Amino acid sequence: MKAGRLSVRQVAFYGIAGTVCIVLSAMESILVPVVPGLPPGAKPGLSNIVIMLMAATGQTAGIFFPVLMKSVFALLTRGASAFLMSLSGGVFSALVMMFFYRRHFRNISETGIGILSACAHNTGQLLVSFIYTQTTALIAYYPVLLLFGTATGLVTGIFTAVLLPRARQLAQNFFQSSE
Amino acid sequence: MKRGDLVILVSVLLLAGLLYLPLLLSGSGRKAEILVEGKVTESIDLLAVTGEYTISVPGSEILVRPGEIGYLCSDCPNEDCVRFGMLSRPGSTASCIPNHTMIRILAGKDTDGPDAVTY
Repeated sequence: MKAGRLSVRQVAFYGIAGTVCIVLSAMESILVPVVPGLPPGAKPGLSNIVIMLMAATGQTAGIFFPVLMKSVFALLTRGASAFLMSLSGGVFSALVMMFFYRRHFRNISETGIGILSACAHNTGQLLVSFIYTQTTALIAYYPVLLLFGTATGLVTGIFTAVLLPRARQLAQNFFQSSE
Repeated sequence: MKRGDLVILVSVLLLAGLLYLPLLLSGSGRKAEILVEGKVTESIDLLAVTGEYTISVPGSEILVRPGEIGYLCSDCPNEDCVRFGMLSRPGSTASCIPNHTMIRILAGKDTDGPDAVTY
């Protein structure tokens, strides 16, 4: 990728990734209200699998495209506060992923990055709702969010690890002929 | 799962536990407030409540019982506010973001008298 310019293949790739993210999170929002016992606002974060796969196959900067697409979708379907929540969570977790996939820590795999990025997602959202409502009492909810973020991050991390070899191959084939 | 993953897992859980500890120790709260558009519209002494009653706020119904308060039902899409359940601990909150309403229980210190006095 030349600095600041996207190839046609990248645009197509990011568009597909963003679409898959939107579909996954739409599916989630149908499933979540049916499952009892989930803490409020908690979602499994399946679209994180797509974003992690992108980051893991070398598109570290590109992950901000699906994040932005998801937020715009939230804006269109659920309004401004949903947009802010989606964007803050997405950007926070994308930053964490970018950091870890650029540094290549030998001891940390998809599982660990999944947990940290899920928790970063929740942290970002809590920060925005804190700014939005001006209530310090929201911090009381943070432990629940961390606990749930760990669980969902673990699951999405494992999914990512399982899918990664195949995704690597796909990404390679997709970008190979573009040069 | 690699060693670093385990370190991450344990440290995040530890952090959650540490943050939760003060809440666990703080017992139950006394004074609850209902906010609409960021302004306090109702202030309730939960320990003085004897019966059960509901309060209407824009978009939702709020249930008040002795010692606890919570959203009963709401017209918002996911009813996330209802999922918060009944609140009783100081510092806990439930909010209905689409309707801009919120319930909070004030932290105990400013509502009670001193715990101990020495001379």
